[in-house]
Amino acid sequence: MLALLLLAGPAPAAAGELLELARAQAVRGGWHDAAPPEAGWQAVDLPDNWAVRWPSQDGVVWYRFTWQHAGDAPAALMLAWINMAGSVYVNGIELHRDASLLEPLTRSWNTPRQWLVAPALLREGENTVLVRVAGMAAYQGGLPPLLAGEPAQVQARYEEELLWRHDLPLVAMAASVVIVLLFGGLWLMRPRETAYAWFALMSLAWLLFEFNHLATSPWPLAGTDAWQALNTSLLVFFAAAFLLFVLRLRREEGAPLVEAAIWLAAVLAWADLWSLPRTGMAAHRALWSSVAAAATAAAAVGVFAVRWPVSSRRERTLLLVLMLIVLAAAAHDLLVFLQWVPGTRYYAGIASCALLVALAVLLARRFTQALRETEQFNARLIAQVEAAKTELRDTLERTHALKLMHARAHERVALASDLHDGLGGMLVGSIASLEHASQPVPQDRILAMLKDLRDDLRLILDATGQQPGLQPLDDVIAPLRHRLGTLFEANGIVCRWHLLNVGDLTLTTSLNIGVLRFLQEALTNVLKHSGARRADVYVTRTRTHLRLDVRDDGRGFAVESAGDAPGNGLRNMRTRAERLAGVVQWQSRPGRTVVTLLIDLLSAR
Amino acid sequence: MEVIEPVHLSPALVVDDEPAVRQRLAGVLQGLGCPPEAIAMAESVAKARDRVGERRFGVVLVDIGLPDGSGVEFIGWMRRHQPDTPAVVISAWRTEDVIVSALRAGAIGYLLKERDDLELSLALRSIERGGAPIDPFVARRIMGLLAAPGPPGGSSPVPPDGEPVPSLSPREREILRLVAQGLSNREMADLLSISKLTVECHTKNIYRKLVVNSRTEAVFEARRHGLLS
Repeated sequence: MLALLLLAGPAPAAAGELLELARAQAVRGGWHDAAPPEAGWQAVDLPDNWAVRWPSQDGVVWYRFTWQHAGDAPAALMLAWINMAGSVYVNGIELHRDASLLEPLTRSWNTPRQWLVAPALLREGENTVLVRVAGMAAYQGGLPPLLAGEPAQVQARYEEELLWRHDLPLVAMAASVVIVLLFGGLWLMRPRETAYAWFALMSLAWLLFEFNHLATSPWPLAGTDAWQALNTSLLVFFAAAFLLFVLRLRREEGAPLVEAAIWLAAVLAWADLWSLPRTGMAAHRALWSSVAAAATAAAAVGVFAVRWPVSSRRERTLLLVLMLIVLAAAAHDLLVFLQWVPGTRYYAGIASCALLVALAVLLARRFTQALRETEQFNARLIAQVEAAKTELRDTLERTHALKLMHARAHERVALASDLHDGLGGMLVGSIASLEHASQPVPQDRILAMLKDLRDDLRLILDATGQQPGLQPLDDVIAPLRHRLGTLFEANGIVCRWHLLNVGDLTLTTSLNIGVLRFLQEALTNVLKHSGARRADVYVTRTRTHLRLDVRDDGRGFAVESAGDAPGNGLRNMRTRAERLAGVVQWQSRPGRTVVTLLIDLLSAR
Repeated sequence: MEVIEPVHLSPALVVDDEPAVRQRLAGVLQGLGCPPEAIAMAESVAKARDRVGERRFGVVLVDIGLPDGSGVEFIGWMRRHQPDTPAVVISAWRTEDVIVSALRAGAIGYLLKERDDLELSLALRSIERGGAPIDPFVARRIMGLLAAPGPPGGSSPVPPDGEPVPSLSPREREILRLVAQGLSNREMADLLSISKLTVECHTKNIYRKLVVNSRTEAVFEARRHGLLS
C-alpha cells in the first residue's frame, strides 16, 4: 500500500535530496517563553523523549535544526508529530503555530504536518528551523526528526504518515462503530445473551481509546492530565470488558467471583490513575497498560477454548491468524509505548479491523448454522406432523370401522330380537292357541293367524329396507302406505296421509318396525272395525319427538274396554310402544277416534 | 297420451310350476268374473308356448322361475308373437334385476305372490280397466334405472342391456315419484287434479316406454312369423 501511495504521489520534480535531520540542539524553557534562552543548549538525537533527560520538565523545550540549502528551489519541511503542541520558525519567521500552546494543550502528538517554504524565506547555505514544543515529561514530550527537501518527496512521506496516523485509524474507528452498533443491537434484541453486551461495551471502550489517535484537543476534558488518565482508564475498561465477554461466552450466567475480581482490579486502576500526581503518571500508565494488554492477550487465547461454533479447520486457522496479527500489533504498540523498541507509530487500532473480519466470519457461520438448523427443524417438524396426521387418520379409520362393526352388530341383534319378540311371539302364540284349542279351530281363524304372521314379516322386510344405505322414514312407510291405501280405496274409505318433517329422518330398524307395526295395527282396526268413511294419518316430527296419529270418523269404542274389545290390537300396541320408549294414547267417541304413538327420539334406542 | 285400452281378463293363461299357485290365481281370476273354462294353465315355458299357439288370450300371468326357463324370456317371446296380449308377472322375487328385465321385456305389471288375494284381484281389476298396477318398490327400481349414469356426454343413460333408457315426461316422472312415496292412485289423482284412470294410463305408458326395441319392430317380427294376419 505504501508503494502504491508513493507511486500515486507526485513524482519528484527535480533531483533533490530528502534530508532527515535526526540530530538537533535542545534547550528547556518556560510555558510562556517567546524565545529560547541563550544558554543550556545540548545536542539530542531524534526522535526525542525529553523525559529521559529532564524527567520533571513540564513546559516548553526548544529544538533547533540547521541544514544547508542550495539554489533557489522551494523546499518543504515535515514533522510526523509534535508532542504535545508546538510552533515552527524558519530563519526566525513563524511558519506554524498550534491552536493552543498552553493547557489545555492542542494534541499534536500524532498529527503529521508539512510546510512548503517559499524561496524568499530560505537562505543560500545554512538555514535554521526552530521548533517550540509545549508538553510534559510524564506524557513523553518530544519531537521526531525533521524532514527537509524537495516538496514532492516530502509530500510522499507526509502522505505515508497521514495514512498510518490518521486515515487507517479513522477506518478502524468506523469499523469499531459498526461492531458497537451490531452487537449492541443484538444484545437489545436478545438481552439474555450478555456476551453480546460485553462485546459491544468492549468495542466502545476500544473506540474511545483509539480516538486518542485522532483527537486534536482534550475537549471536553479540562486538560492533558485528565485526557491521559481517561485514555488509560479506557484501556483498562476495554480489557475488563473483554475478559467478561470471554467469561460470558463460556458460561452465560458468568462467574461472579472472577468477575468481581476483575472489576476490583479495574476500579483499583482507575482510582490510581485519577488520583496520581503527574510525576508518577509515566510509570503507572506503563504498568496499567501492560496489565491491560496482558489480560487482553490472555482472554484472546481464552476465546479459542470456548464454544464458538468454529467447525472447519480453515475457519480455525483463519481466526488464529487474525488473532495473532492483532496480538502482534498490540505487543508492538505496547513495546513502542514503553519505548523498549524504537518507533512512534501504533498499529493495534488498525489491526483490530482484522477482528471485524473474524467476527463477520463467525457470525455468518453462526447465522447460516442457525438457519440450517431451523430448516432441518422445519423439515423434521413437517415430517412429524405428517406422521401424526397419518397416524390420527389411521386411528380414526380404525375407530370408525370399529363403530360401524358395532353398529351393524347392534342392528343385527336388534333385528333378531325383533324377530324373536314379534314374529316369534306371534308364532308361539298361534301354536299355543292351536295346540290347546278344546275344539277344532275354524279355518278362517288359522288363516287369520297365518296372515298376521305374513304381515309382520312384510313389515320387518319393509323396515329393514330393500336397498343398502339408510332409508328415510317416508321411504320406509311407503310400501305400507301403498298397500293399505289400495285396500282403503277398494273399501271406499278415503285415507289421507300427512307427513311432516320426516323426509330426512332415519331411525333404527327397531324403531322402523315399531312405527310400521303401530300404523298397520291402527289402520287395520279402522279398516275392519270402525265403519269409518275417512281416515287421516299424521306423521309429525318435532325437535324431540316423533308423533303418529291415526284418526278416523268411525263409530269409536269405549276407551276403558279398549284392552279387550277390538281384539288384542290396542294392548299389543301399548306393549310394543313401551319397548320403544314410546307412549300410546286413545281418544274415542263416535265420529272421532284418535290413536297416538309418541316416541321420544332423544332417548329412543 | 294413448287411448285407454281395456284388457279382457278372459280367456287367461296362468304360467306357474306350482299347482297351488295356479289354483290360487285361477280362483282370483274367477273372482273377477273369468269363467273356469276360459282359464288355461301351463307349468313350463314350452307348455305356455303351446297354449299361446292354440288360441289368443286376453291376459297372461307369468311366474319368473320356471323349470325350463325364465318367465322373462317367455314375456319377450310373447311380445314378438302376440304383442297385443298383455303379460303380467306374478313373482315371489323382488330383486331389482328381475323386475327391470321383466319390464324391459314387455310386462305391464309386476305383482308379488305374497300379496293377499284381495290385493291381487285389485291389481288385476286395474289392468282390466286399462291401467297398470305399480308398487312403490317397482317405482323405485324404475327411478333407479332412469338415474343410472350414462356414457359421458351422452344424452340418455344406457342400462346394462345396452338399450337406451327412454326419457319420461315430467308428469310421468312426477307420478313415479309419488308412487315411490306410497300414494294410492286416488291420492295421486286428487293431488294432480286428474282422473284416477289417467293416473293408471300414465303408469302404463311408463311401462311401455321401458320396453326394449320399438313396438313397430315387434309388430313387424310378429307379422314375419305369420302370427298377424
